[in-house]
This record gives sequence, C-alpha cells and structure tokens, in this order.
Amino acid sequence: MPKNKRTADKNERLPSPMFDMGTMPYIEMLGNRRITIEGSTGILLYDSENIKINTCKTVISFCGRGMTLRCISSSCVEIEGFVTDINFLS
Amino acid sequence: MLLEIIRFLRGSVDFTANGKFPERFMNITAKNGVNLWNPVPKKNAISASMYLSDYKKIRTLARKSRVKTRVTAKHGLPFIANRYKARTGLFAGAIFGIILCIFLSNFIWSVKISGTEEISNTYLESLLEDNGISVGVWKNNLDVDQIERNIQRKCGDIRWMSINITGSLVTVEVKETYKKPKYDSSKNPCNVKAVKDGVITRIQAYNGKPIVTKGSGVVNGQILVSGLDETKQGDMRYLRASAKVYADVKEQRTLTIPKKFTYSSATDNFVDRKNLKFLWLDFPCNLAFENYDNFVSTVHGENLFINDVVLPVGFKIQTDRELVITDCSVTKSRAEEIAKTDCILYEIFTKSKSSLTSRKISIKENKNDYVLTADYIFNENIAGQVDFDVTE
Repeated sequence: MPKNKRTADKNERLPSPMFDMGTMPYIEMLGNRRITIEGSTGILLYDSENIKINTCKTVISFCGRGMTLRCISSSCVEIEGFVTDINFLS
Repeated sequence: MLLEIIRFLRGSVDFTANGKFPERFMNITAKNGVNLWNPVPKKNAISASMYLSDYKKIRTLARKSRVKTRVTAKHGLPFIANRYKARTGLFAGAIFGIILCIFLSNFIWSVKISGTEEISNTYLESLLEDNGISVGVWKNNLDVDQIERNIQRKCGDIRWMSINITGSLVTVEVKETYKKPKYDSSKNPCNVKAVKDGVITRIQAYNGKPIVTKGSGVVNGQILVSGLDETKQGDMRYLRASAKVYADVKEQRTLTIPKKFTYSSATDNFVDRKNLKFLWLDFPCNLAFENYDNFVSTVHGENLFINDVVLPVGFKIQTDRELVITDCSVTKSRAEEIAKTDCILYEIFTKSKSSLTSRKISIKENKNDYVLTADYIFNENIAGQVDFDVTE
C-alpha cells in the first residue's frame, strides 16, 4: 500500500503548545462602552450591573452600570453600557 | 429603517420569560437560531422581543429552560391583518385600489410642451394627437422615436424634439429652427419708382438723381429718382437711390349695405351643463333639460393640479346661451352713418401713414340695398426702391 502519511516540512511552523488560539475568545472593546465577545458559549448571568459570559476556557465577568445585551447569537455577544470591571474567572 | 420595515411586515411580539434561569432560555434560543432583541433583565425574568414566527417555535425551548413566556405586546402587519380579518371588503377595496392605480398609470394623464416660441402649442398638440399622443391614451403602445420623426418631418420649423414619458406625464421638448436671415441688398444700386399713380407734392431725395418735379403726374412703375448719375468726367456712376416722394393719390371704395338684414344677439337666458371630466370620459353632474332652438355654446374646463402636474380629473362647464334673431331695416341716414364710421375706421387703421386730403361720400339707393362710394384723395409716400442689375 502506498504511504499517504503527511510528513512535516522542515520550514513548516508548528503551532505553539502554549496558546491554542482557536479556542480563545476574541474580545473587542470600544472604550468601556461597548464590548463584543466572539467565541462565547452562553450567558451565565444577565443583570444590569453584572454580566457573566461563558467561553471555552474561561468565564468572563463584566461589572458596570446600565449594561444591556445588544445582540445575542450562538457564538457572539455584544454588551453595551458603562463597564467598570472585567474579571476572568476560571 | 429597513430592519423596522422587515419587523413590521413579519410581525413581532414583546414577551416576558419568567423562571429561575432566564439566561438559559436566552442561550437555548440563540443556539437554535432564534433572534432576540432588546433583552431587558428583571428579577428572575427577562423581557425581550422576537419575530412572531419564532415565537411560535419557542414553546419547547421554553419548556427545556423551565421558563414561562407571556406576551406583553404585539406589533406588525400580521396582527393588523388578523384584526380586520372579518372585514373582507376592506381588503378587497385595498386590492382593487392598488389594481386601479396600476391600471390607470398605463394611461397618459397630461401632456406638457416646452421650448416653443413661434410654433403654437395648440398646433403641436394637434400634431401629437394625430400621432397618437393625447390625454387618455394607452401609453405602452407608443413608439416615441417614430412619433418624433413623423412630427419633425411634418413640421419643418422643428429643429429638434424629444418626447419623454415619465409615469403618466408626457413632456415634449422642442427646439425651433433658426430663421434664414434676410438678404441684405442695401448695397445694390437701385432706382426709386412710383408704386401708385398720383400728382407729386413733395420730394425728399436722400441719394440719387430726381427725375420728376413737384406738380408732375406719375404712373405706377415710373422712375422718380434715378440710381444712375453722370460724373463730371462723363462716366456713369451707380447709386442706391433713396427718397421720400409724396403725392396726392386718388382712391375709391365701395360699400354695399342691404336695406334689410337679420342678426343674432344673445339674451340673458342660459343653461350651465356641468360635467365631471375623467381621462376622455365626461360624466354629467347636473340635470339641465332646457334646450333652445338657437343658442351659442361656450365650453370652459379646468383640470386638477397637484405639484405642477395636470391630473386627468376636472370640471367642464358648457354654457348654452339663447340667441334671438332680430330683423333690422336700414334707413338712408343710418346707411350714411354706417358708411362714415366705416370710412373713419379705414382711415385710422389701413391708411395710418397717409394724410387725408379730401373725402367725398355718395350714396346710391337701389331696390334692396344702398351702394356707398367713398372717393378719397390721400397724400402719401409713393416711393419704392427697385434694384437694377448693372449689366442692364
């Protein structure tokens, strides 16, 4: 049988074992007024002063005032309000 | 704006989801592709909005997330349609109205002409009508290019024209041809000749050699001032003769006035027949049964204007005015008065550049009419420039 096994090229760059970028959430902030999180797996808490978003690796907690969810989809959440604190909870 | 229109057409509901974990409900709906908007957190509850079609699907999702949903408000077209479901006439009327609008938009409602200076709009309208463009015509069959060509071929004064059909309005733009400038023959040599027979009273020669003198009688076509002049060296010089030659000219006019004649005059009796105009149709609006044996009709119409666009809806008023036929007989003195008036009008309007030297009116009475003869002597300029060729 012919061998179809792929062999690594000498110059090919291997992914770093330290960071798996594919599973990391992508957070985009517009000042402290608007935050977009891509790679969310669900909303754990929704309150006007505290919103907790679950991602693959971690839970992100946003504290602030008058916070609302502008858009919710299966993998993306957009928060709007006055954010005062962001915590990464494992 | 677009999103609001889509939401209005699809219909949306505002609802409250009560339960221990309303966040779970949000996660489940998001994973199942259900769009939520305006989520507002409350104590053990969440209020949000979603499409009506999605709300019908979320019953099982709500059961899974152990929340109870309750509709607080309904928005959009499906609810409005449902409200008036029993009133089918309303829908039928709306649909009929839309179809009527679409149908009527296929007709020409008004024709607007611009750019005419010498050509009359009425003439152009008649040309357009001959070629099939008028109010109330089905516009989809019109071959505009062919019509433009036909009209330009028929009316030589049109240099360029464009017919634009915008909706139900036809705009006709016209450019007229440039007039050929008059050939300036002011440098050609010419003679001054008499245009009428008469006795010369005064000569004002500006250029040329006068041949006739004051008091001499001349006939039509006779040279008064010559354009040929002899120099001191004996050569001939060609001039453009110019002069004003005044002469007493005899003229006779004859007017025949019948002794008895009839004329029609309008009385105060009239009938207004009002019609509602719509496209090419006229609908009578009042019952006017009165008819006269002799009458004269005047038609006055006005169309409705909206935003400078003439609509094919308007009023047409036809006024029938009664005429009375009167027999009239003319006496000799009356005939004389008529003759004098006629003579004065002739002198004022036709002979405005001549001065009256004498006027003699004679009346001859026949069996049925009076024949009035006016013998005039006018003092007027009889000079007329006539070019001649130097080879003559």
